[in-house]
Order: sequence, then C-alpha cells, then structure tokens
Amino acid sequence: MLRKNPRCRLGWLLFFGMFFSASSFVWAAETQSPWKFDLSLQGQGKGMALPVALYVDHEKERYYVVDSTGNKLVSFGADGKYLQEFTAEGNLKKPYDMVRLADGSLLVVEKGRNSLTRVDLKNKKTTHTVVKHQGQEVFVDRLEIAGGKVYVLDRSSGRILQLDETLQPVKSYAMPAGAGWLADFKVAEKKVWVLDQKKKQVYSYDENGRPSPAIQLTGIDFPVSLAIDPAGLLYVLDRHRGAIVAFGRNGEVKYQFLSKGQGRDNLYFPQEIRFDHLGRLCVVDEGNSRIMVFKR
Amino acid sequence: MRRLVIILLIFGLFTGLACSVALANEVCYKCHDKKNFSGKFTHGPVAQGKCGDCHNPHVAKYPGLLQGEGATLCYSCHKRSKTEFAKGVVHQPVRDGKCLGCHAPHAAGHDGLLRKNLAETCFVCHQEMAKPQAVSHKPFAQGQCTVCHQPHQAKNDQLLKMEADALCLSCHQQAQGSAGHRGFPRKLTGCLSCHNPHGSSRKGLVRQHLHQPFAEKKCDSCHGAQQNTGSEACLHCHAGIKTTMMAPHNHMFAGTENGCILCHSPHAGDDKKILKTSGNKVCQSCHQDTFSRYAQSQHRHPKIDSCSDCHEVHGSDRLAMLRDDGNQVCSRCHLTQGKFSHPVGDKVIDQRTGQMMTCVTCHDPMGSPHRYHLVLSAKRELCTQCHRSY
Repeated sequence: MLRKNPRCRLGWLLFFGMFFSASSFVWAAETQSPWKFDLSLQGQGKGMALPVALYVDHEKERYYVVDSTGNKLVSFGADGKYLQEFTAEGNLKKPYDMVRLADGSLLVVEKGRNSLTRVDLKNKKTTHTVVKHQGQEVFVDRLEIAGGKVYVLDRSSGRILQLDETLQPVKSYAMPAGAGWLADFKVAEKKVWVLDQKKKQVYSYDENGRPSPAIQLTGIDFPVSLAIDPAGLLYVLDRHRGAIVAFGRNGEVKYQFLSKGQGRDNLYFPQEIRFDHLGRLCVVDEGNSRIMVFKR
Repeated sequence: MRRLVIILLIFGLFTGLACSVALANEVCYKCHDKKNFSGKFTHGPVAQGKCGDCHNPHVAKYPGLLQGEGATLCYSCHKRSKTEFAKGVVHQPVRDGKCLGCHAPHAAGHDGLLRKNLAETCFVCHQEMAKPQAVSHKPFAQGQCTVCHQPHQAKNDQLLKMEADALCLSCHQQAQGSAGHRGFPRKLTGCLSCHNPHGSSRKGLVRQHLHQPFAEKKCDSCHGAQQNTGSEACLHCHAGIKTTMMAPHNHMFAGTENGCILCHSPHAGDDKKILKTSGNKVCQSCHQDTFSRYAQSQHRHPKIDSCSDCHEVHGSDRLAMLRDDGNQVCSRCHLTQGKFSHPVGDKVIDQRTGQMMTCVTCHDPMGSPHRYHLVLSAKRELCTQCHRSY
C-alpha cells in the first residue's frame, strides 16, 4: 500500500516524524536537569580549607559553613556575602557539623574531641559533651535539628539518635537487619531519611520509628549525602563522580547533573547536599573549598 | 508441500554449513595453519569454518581484523551472558571485558575453552595462591576452584557460590560437633574468621595470626554479656586506633554490626593486622568503583603494593584520606618532582580554590583518559584553568 499510494506514504512519514519528535521531547524533559548555578560561597583571605558541612539558618536566612581543617565556622548572608569566621578563640578541634539551637547557642560536632559542643555566644561559654547511649560512647557524625529536636548519626552503632535538651538520647532508630553503614541522614516531611552507603539504599522512619520500604538506588558509585525535595524527588550526592543524581520516590533515576572537576559545573570530592530557605540546592564542595548553590 | 519445504530448509542449512567450512578451508587456511585452530575443544564458529563471524577478512577497526572489541564481540553471540555477567559481584576480567584472559578464542585442550587447566588459569592472576601450603583444603589442592567459586559473577563476595558459612557447612556438616568447636555457644557462623579456605601452616586450616584474646581462649573479653557492642567492642582496647578515627574522614562505620570487623577478622588472619583478606582486596570490597576506574583508565599511576602506601586506613584530616598533603605523599617516591617542574607547595596558590598547589591538583593517580594521568588534557585545557590569558 505504501509503495502504491504516495499520499499514504507521506501520511505515514508525517505520523512517524511527529511520534519521534514527541518522544524525544518527553525524553529530554525527563532527563534534563532544571538546576542552574546561582552562587558560590567562599571564605575570605585564605578562604576555607576543607568545608565538610553546611547549616542553613532558615530564621536568620544565613549560611554557616563548617571548615574542618581550618577549625572554624564561616557565616554568609542570604546573598552569599561573607560575614565572619568563628573559631571559639582557637578552641574548635576538627569541627564536622553544626546547628543553631532555639536559644541562639550553637551545637557543634567536634570530631577531634568526639564531642557535641554547645557554644553559648552571648556568655562566651563552651560546653563539651561526650554523648553516651546504653552506656557506650556515641561517635557523633552528622547532626540535624527539626521541630526543635536534635538528631545525630552515631558512627559506632550505626543508629540515628534523637537527643533531649541535655543531649541525652531519648529515641533510637535502628537500621534494618543486613543494612550496610550510614553516610548521612535528613529530617523532612516528619520522617527521618537515612542513606546507607554500602547497600546504596535509603531508609525512612516516621515519628513513631515505623520504617517504610527501603528505596534502592542505582547508577551511583559512592553516595555520601541525600536531600529530600518537597516537590517529590530525592537527591543523592555521589562523592567519587562529583555528581548529583535525582531519584523518584521508588528509586527510579530521573536525571543527574554535574561531574568531577574544578569548574563551575564540577564538584571535587563533595561532601554534603541540602536545601536552603529559598529551595535552592546547596552542595558542600570540599575538594574545591567552596559551597555551590543551584537554583531551578 | 510442507514436507518439501522442510527438506529444502534442512538441505539449505547443510549446504550453507558445508560452504562455510569449505570457505574457511579454501581461503583462510591457505595461509593460517589449520593446526592452530583445532584442539580437544573447538569454538563453535571455528568448527563450522565461520571465521567471518568474528573477523573481517579485508579491513577492521580492531587488531586481529576483529569485528568488535573485547567482550562486545563475544556477547554478540553469547547474549544471555551479557545480562547475567552484569549482576552482583563480577569477576574483574569479566567486568573489564577481557574474556580472552581465561578463554582461547579458537581451540583449547580444556573444557570451556580455558587456556590452561582450571587452577592454572586462576593462578595466572592469583599468583599468591599458587604458593604451596603445609595444610591445604582438599578441593583447592585438587585444583577445583569452581567447587566454591563462580568464575564470572556471583551473588556473594569473593564470587562464592553460596553465602560463606552455608558453603562451608554444605560439605562440613559434622563441624558443629567437632572437637575444635566444643563450647561454641550457638550454630556455627563466621567460619572464615578463623579458617583459611585455601591453606595454612596450622592444623585445621586455622589462619596464621591469632587475635590475642582468641589465642588465650579469653572469649569473654569480647563476647561477655556486659561487653560493648559496635565498634566500641574493639576500641575500648585499641585506644590508639580510636584516636586516629577521631578525624573528619574516617573508616568508623557500623550498620547492624561492628564496623571494625568489616576489614578485620576478630579471631584469626593471614597477616599481623588480622585482616579479613589480603590488603588491597579488603579495600576493594567497598571501593569497587575506584578499582574499576583504575583498571579501565587509559592512563594511571603504576600499580603500587598497597593502598595504605598513600592512604590512611583508619582516619585522616585530608581529602581522600591521604597520609599527608598532596605533595608529601608523592614526593616520598618522586624525589625530584616539584623542584624543576611546575611550582607546587604552600607558596603557590591554586586561584580556583585558594588552596596550595599539589601534585593531585593536576594529576589523578587513580586513572584518567589523559597522558601522565592528568585530570584534563595538557594540550591547553588543563593549563588554561588557571593561566586564562595563555
């Protein structure tokens, strides 16, 4: 029929052309990242040595960067302008993460002391606490604050602990049997989201500690951090590939962006991702000594 | 009518086969000695004279006038293998697409077209295994590696056919009640934490170096009811290691078990550090992506004995858990570098990061597509990162 009727042939050609154009449009929409570089946070003078964590103060609209090798905390304004550095008079020992408490004091993870250190800025007072859980020392790694509650990741036991005001554990989230080890966690949507680096899985627990089915991640080499997008996606940072991969809530890869290197669209041994108060995605780009902020 | 079609088809098939054999006989074997293409076991296409299935007689992109490269060519016929060999733990030559590392493409004296007998084929790479041992595991002594291991891919670490304990107990059913395990408080587990499955100088294949409490039969010092759990179970004795782990980048990790025993055996090992397996393989069990990148990279640092030559194993303040800064680590071997090449050191600042220039600013020892394992091409791209007006 196609050979005999030129009109019919033309019709079929048009149909196939439209079909393939539409498919490629849908494919492009699914695979292209909407994220564009917005700004970069860098220190002054010698800058930051090796930034390892970012805390976004939603209330004050400020960024606090934890520079572990520089033994300092560096603050930036909402526009990304450098504000000041804080070293607790040279007393911070390998800081690794931080949050700001409701009373305005800072809570800092000091790896060098294995301490959760409360810094009372008004009274210039520093209190070191080695957290213990069930009689054993907790090796505090990542730190989060949500709804006034403080959560920590314990590297020794592989648990997420919720702490009270005196920094004593009041709740423990144990990982499922056969879990690997934990790289990061976030508290979002009234859930605790945990990234298992070995198994490349994401676990989530509701406020009562009830787990949801694990999300299996694919197409990722060395996951180190995760961020939960209220819009429905799950972002995972791949430290070795210098890339961010966006997953659906069932673990399907939606798109990925950035690559390893030193340029604007590159990351070099990045360490953490999180959303800021404007819904921008921030990346702690440790190897490039900067924080990269991307907007949609 | 139907019969006639079937007869014609069969006739056509035989004629085609005869023609292709005849083609190989008449054309290829005129120059290539036929003896080199026959053996106890012959590859199907060779036996059928279908040289053209793999080779292009006139011109090709790949050496040996091959139609495709490496495993891609093999998978064009062995289609199921391509899917199967991508799952789970994959043997490195398979992952690298080097089928010919073990298999001969034309003919061989061994089943599966293996180049040598099974054990000899394995020992080509696993050379340390070939050393004679005072006590050897029987299947190993008989060269029957595939009794325990899968050659291509497996669901389990070390390419084991089953989970390690289940595999041991599938033959050693009597082990639970044996004299050596008397007093074991529960069902036998963790066989490999005491026994070397290949060979040892000790009776019962017990590994060479024993953890002190284990050697002194002081099981309670770790397993007592009031003892610590998680990494603390080890660190309350190994306080020095605990200090090194108090660093931003460290290998303290635990999920549902003690993180230390991911690398170390709590009872016995083959070296003084009582590692679970030989040095780099311990690292590879987690850092598979780095090992794959290294293996597949066109340009990379020459192979070094141990990852720990450059990297700390417990904890480090530095990127990539390096032992020292990116200059000191390299200059221990590269004595003259930095003195006559591009300036490096704390007085030379990388304007992109504000940090000092080091060897790893420009080189990626774990592998790169560029010469001298540079991170970017040296023709222009790398230099213009900083020298913009160049």
